Amino acid sequence: MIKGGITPLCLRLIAEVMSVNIREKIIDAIDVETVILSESEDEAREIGLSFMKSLGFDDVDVVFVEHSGFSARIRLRTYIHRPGDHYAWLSTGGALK
Amino acid sequence: MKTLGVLGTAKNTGKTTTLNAVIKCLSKHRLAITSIGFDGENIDFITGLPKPKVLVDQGMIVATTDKSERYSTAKMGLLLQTNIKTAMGIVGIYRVKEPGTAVLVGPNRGSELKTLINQIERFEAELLMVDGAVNRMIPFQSVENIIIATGASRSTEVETLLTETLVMIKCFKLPTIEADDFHRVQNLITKDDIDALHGKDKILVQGIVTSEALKHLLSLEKKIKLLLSSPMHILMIDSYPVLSKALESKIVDFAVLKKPKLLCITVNPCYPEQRQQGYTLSKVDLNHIIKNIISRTSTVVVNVDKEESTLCQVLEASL
Amino acid sequence: MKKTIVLVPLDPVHDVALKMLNRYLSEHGHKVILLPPDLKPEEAVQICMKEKPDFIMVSRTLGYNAAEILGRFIDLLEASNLRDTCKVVVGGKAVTPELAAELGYDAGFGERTEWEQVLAYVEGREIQEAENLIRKRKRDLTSGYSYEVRDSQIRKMLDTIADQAIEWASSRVTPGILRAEIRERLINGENVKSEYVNLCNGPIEQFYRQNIIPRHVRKISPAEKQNLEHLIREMRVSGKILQLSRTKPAVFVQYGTGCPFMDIVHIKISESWGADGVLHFDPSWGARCEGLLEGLLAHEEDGSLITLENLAIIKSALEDYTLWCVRAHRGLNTPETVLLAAKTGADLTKINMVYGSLNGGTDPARLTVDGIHALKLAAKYSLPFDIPTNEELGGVPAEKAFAGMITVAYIGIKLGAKPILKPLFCHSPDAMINGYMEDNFVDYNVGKILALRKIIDAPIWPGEPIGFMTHSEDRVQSAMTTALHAALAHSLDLEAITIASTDEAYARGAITVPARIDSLRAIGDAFRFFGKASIEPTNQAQTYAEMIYARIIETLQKVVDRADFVASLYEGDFGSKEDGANPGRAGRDTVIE
Repeated sequence: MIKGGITPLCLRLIAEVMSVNIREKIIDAIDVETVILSESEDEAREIGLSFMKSLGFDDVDVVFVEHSGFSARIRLRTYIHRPGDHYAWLSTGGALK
Repeated sequence: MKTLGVLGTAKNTGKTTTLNAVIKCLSKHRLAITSIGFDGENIDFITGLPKPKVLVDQGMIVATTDKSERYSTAKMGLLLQTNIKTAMGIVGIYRVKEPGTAVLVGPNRGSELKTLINQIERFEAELLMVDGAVNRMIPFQSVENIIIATGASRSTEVETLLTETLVMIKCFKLPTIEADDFHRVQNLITKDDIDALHGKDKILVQGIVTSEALKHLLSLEKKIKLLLSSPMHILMIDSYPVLSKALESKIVDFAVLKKPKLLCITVNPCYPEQRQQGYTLSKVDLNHIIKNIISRTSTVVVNVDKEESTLCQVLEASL
Repeated sequence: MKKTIVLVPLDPVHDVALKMLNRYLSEHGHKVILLPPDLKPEEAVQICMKEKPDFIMVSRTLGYNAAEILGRFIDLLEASNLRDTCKVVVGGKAVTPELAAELGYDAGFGERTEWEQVLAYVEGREIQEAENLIRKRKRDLTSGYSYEVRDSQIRKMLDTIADQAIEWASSRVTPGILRAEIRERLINGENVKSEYVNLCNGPIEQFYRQNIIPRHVRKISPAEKQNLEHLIREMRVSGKILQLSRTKPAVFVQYGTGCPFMDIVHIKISESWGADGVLHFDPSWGARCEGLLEGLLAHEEDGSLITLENLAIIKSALEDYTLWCVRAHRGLNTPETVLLAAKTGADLTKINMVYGSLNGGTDPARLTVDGIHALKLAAKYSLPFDIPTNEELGGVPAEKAFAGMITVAYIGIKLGAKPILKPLFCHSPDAMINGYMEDNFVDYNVGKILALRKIIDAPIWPGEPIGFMTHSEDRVQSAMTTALHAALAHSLDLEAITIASTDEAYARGAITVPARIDSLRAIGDAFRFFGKASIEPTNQAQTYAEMIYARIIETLQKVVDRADFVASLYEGDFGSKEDGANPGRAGRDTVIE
């Protein structure tokens, strides 16, 4: 557990450093599954999407969200490669060495 | 109290941007504002793109529901609770104490808008602005002045958009006459409805006309005067190309009972383009349309982002 | 009053939802006209003008042009003078009140609308905002059971064993019992703290005498307490109901992160997502000390401390329909724990001298005296108690564990308490060695239930958790095995189950909230899938049932022959060292005659 919290800037730097490797190793997508404290589904959606964007991902989406009581269960997704893209894992060999 | 409505031809045609510009132009006047729908969400429900919010100044009168008042950043105090119900609560008339954004939810039909106009008049506003919603227009019967907000959201086909806009302008320029000796019908929807007229040549249509009916009428080649309640009623037709033909023909003579004054058109070149991963904002070059409209009609066309002063001039002149 | 309703699908294809709504509203006596799909909007308007309905309900799946189509439709209605005489509503998957307002409709019904809400709207009644129109009610897990032991031979054996144990215990007392009595007086306001402390030892004694807080424990400050109370007020939920056509089993989750804040959030989330009950999981070291701490205390490792204040604040966080079990099945504080459980409003407790002494680390003699006293307290305070058989996990064959369980149950019944049997649904060492579950996880578990039901008419609540030893760290696998075991309990009409989160197999960190929701969701769907249908075991289940039944009797006979319950515990009748049972040491030689 990392104490003290990670700032969005820090996360972005990590994502940038990692993003090169990520693109070569992830076949298609990364899902983030969590529970967000929020008053509504819309609020959870907004928080989730901006969180994913703050990690440096652009192609982000909410796969699932359901609000109950005071929190929302949410699955966020970022596509690293969509069908038809130039797959980083193909051009550089990646995992298919 | 004067009234001004911003009528949109589709979602995302720039109604709110236009509204904010109008508010800015007329900031020295005592203004009131409401909507015939709902304006103020952060993100468009369908496209997921961020939307502009309505900015209200201190002293403005705002008619909205209490639920919406809570989500507005402007601080408002309740002046009067109405009996007008909406899907998001009951409409109240508020005075803005501290400026900010406002979420507007107002009466969803013309009859209730009329009631609201009477109620707001008591509070000595000079002008009530009515924000449109999606492509809805019938409630604007109760409004004296109109700005039409159109743009690439309505159609990305430049020629289609031009034709449509010209048709709209033409409808708003139709003559207003009285209904004295006109034969009344509710709607003209099918061929049978036309045949049932038995050749009468002065018809008052209280409701709508469809393209099927109009085409049949044109094919009969007998001159006829069609009187409709308002330009908006005519524009309910399901085919603008057919309407365009009819307007240009010598066979049908259109007129309306009542019409709002068309002050100007605003054109929004941006539109949400559907991609695999949702929507993004794209642009179409609409200069061709704008030039065409200006040259063929005497209507003012404004690009709200760039030509605010033009808008202000038009408003000051007309109101 | 009968209303006329026109249903308008503005979709090009048939709308299943509108067809269902048509049926529902018609069944409730209203005149409903369902228009075919793919009508021109103008045609729909014509029909509405003819029918003059009270309500027009439009449905349309949302998509890019849908808003304009819906907006134009309402304009057409207003242009045709229908707007002021009809209420017009819109329904569809992504419809919200905001969208309805934007489109000019009087109301909007979205994906999670119940037909009941639409009916209420039509009939002019208040639409309930709550997701569940059926309110959850607290259950009594023991109601409807006679506790009759069917076979007279078995009954005689149990009578013999129980009478001997009760008699033996009645002439003995322990520091645990004495503390429980003092605790009762303390709660009543008597100033007898020092008497209590005299009976404590180790870190507990140090806590009271020298104000030394035990390791890994910290006091919760008044400011934190305020925040906690504020949190509790903010977090009221109206929980989902997982059970549909069957009402059983009740679904329990365990909590015990050590931190009351985190526990409460976990509890509220679990309640939100369908849990019917929660079990308090306390730290294992507490069982080895004489005495309980006091105050609002956080524990920095697994398990939440049992103190009067901790229990009280957790109780205040529970919804009024949530069942709460505080366990007292091992350790040196069992009578006092049952007392505190009763006083703080718990619904259930847990008592098992057999497991507690054979695998829970407590001395058999001590725990028997304490346990029997605890049973009397459970009877006094009408606190049903469950009897866990976790010896099975250590390697003890189910039948021996069950003999112990039934013995404790019978003692409890004799003393006026209400036992709940807790067999495990697990992939136990014994089952693995003997291949009982080689082919499937159904037959052996069913066999257990059949054997128990043959012996006694008592409520059965498998746990903690079901599917023990079948989970891996893979979320879907873990949720699946939990859901399937839950489906089995559901099929067998068992009273309750305790379930694991999908973090069950993960050892390097605390259970997370999403992991809890995973299992609850999976179970909800398992219940929906089966409804009143059942899981069919093979003939092997009956074979296992007979085997277990026979061996339970064998075990009980041994205990009867030994004629000394406590000696039987020490000597391995209920589970030997080879089986993996180890008589505990905590509290040895503390029994006073």
